[in-house]
Amino acid sequence: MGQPRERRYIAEYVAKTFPDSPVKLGCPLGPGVRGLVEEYGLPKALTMSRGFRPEVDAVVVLPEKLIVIEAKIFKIVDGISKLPVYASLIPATPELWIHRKLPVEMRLITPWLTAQVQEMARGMGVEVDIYNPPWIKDYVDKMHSYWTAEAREARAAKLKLREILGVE
Amino acid sequence: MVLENYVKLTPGVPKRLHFTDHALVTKTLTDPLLGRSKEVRSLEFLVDSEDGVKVDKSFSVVSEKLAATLEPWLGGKRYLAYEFTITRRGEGFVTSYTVDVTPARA
Repeated sequence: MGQPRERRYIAEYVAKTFPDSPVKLGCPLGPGVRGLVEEYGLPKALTMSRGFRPEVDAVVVLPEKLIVIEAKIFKIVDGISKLPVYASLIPATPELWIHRKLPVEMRLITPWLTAQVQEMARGMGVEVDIYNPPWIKDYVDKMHSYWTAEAREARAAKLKLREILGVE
Repeated sequence: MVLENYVKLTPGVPKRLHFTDHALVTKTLTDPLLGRSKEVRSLEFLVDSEDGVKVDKSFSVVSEKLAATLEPWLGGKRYLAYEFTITRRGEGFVTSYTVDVTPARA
């Protein structure tokens, strides 16, 4: 089957890293829209509030804490900046109500990192875990090499050859 | 008489399932927008427990997002040791899924 990469990436990470703990993948955060809860009841209100509730990639429930995890293959800074907002929404999230008093750890998983981004994460209180399975490494290497001089020259040569051969 | 041989997900309603086997199969579905038949690959599970009740049903996953989420538990039938609570949210192209994975003994 086809692979939405970040879904597979986060699921694989939690399956390997937390095999003995409950995990919520694609967890909506925050309260239902005010007014809907009173009118329709909590379950239906949460369904109707879908567009107004952000989703975090995963929440791991440990006895001593919750770990809120975002997985980013490329937009790493986006992941770091979202996590403090997500963590702040935990106490108001009905699906996590019974865990609301647990401390929250913010964690970003990514296959690669620069020193500057590591510093940003540290400043925001975000733990970073590098997870780089072979299937994602191939993809990252390919994307990172796309704009190199060698890759540009190879694409130009291929285009020229297509012109010469009259291939559409 | 309605024969409930397949697990159905209702938007917004969590469904707790335990899987006993799986297979990747090709199915023919009718596209609801175009009314045409088309072949799709589907991840099929055998289900022996639905919301805590013993059953003998199938659960069919045609969503790539959901299949990708469940994939890490397929190898070696790791899913045998877990319960999966799946909540479908939204409809059509914007459908998403929340999947709670709980060790079966927890």
